[in-house]
Amino acid sequence: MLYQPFVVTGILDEIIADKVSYVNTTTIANLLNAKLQFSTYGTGLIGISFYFIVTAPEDIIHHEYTRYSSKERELHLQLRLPYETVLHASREEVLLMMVHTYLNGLKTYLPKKKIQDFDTATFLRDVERLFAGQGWIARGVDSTAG
Amino acid sequence: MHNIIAPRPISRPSPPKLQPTPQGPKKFLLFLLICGIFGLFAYWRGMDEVIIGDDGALVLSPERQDELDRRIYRLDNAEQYVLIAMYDGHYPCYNCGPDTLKIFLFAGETWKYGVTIQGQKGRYSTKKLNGMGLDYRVQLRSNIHNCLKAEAKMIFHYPLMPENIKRLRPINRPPGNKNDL
Repeated sequence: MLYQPFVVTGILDEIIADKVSYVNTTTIANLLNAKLQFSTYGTGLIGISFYFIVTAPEDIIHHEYTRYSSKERELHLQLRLPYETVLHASREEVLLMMVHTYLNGLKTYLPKKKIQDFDTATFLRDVERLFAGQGWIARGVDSTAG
Repeated sequence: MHNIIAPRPISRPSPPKLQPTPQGPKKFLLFLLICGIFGLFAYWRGMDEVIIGDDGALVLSPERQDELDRRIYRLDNAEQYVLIAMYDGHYPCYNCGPDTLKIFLFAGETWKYGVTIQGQKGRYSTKKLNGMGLDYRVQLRSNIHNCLKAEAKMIFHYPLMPENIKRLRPINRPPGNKNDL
């Protein structure tokens, strides 16, 4: 069970960890938890955990994956950010990469899970509007990270 | 001339004939059966792992050799990690005394050090981390030997960390490390 409805965290090489976590991860998570409630969209989903993997290319241990648990009604996403790009980017630039990857990850994988009793389209629209309201993305633009 | 009197044969009582017990053959057959089963099992297992090479000597089967190579590859590519608190709050503590189950950590403070290799069971899965509010940070990527040494140094030096020294009741190892291993 998630410790809060929206969990955003990382699997990170220590050299770049501070660019991703915990300032940026908590910024995204705090915004989502403050502005969105899963119950607004139905009962099929009560939590999303999102892990940003930012590890050097020689990492053979950590991989991307997505999983929806109908029993726990939680979606787990583990997606990678390009390591070299993060290494040479500022924390603010990394935040924008994280936001784009987060939004695109949801747009890509959430509809595929075909979650019962959950208005996926409206939820995704609201997440996008929330990020656009922060100036992190241009509203209506399907941006990709990196 | 003395008459050599042939020694009178000494009649010894004949040893009692051993009567075969009714259970003896059955036990022996059972023993043979068990040996046979083990032998077949060993033969079957051995067939998966050992073959006869080109020179007639026994060698590992290709499948078994692949398993060995993969195992060594994983051991050569281990990682030592630290789990960091994501938010200010209470976290489980295994070193705070029998009456204290949780410890307050500020965001960014250490909860546990560990070592893992690819596919290792029992390491902290992200599913488990999700419920605890922890970040996973890789501190060293190397062979298993170096990673275990690094982990030991981190655990043993934890009492000296500023975040621990400032506590009213410092602890002797990270909250999430149940022992020094």
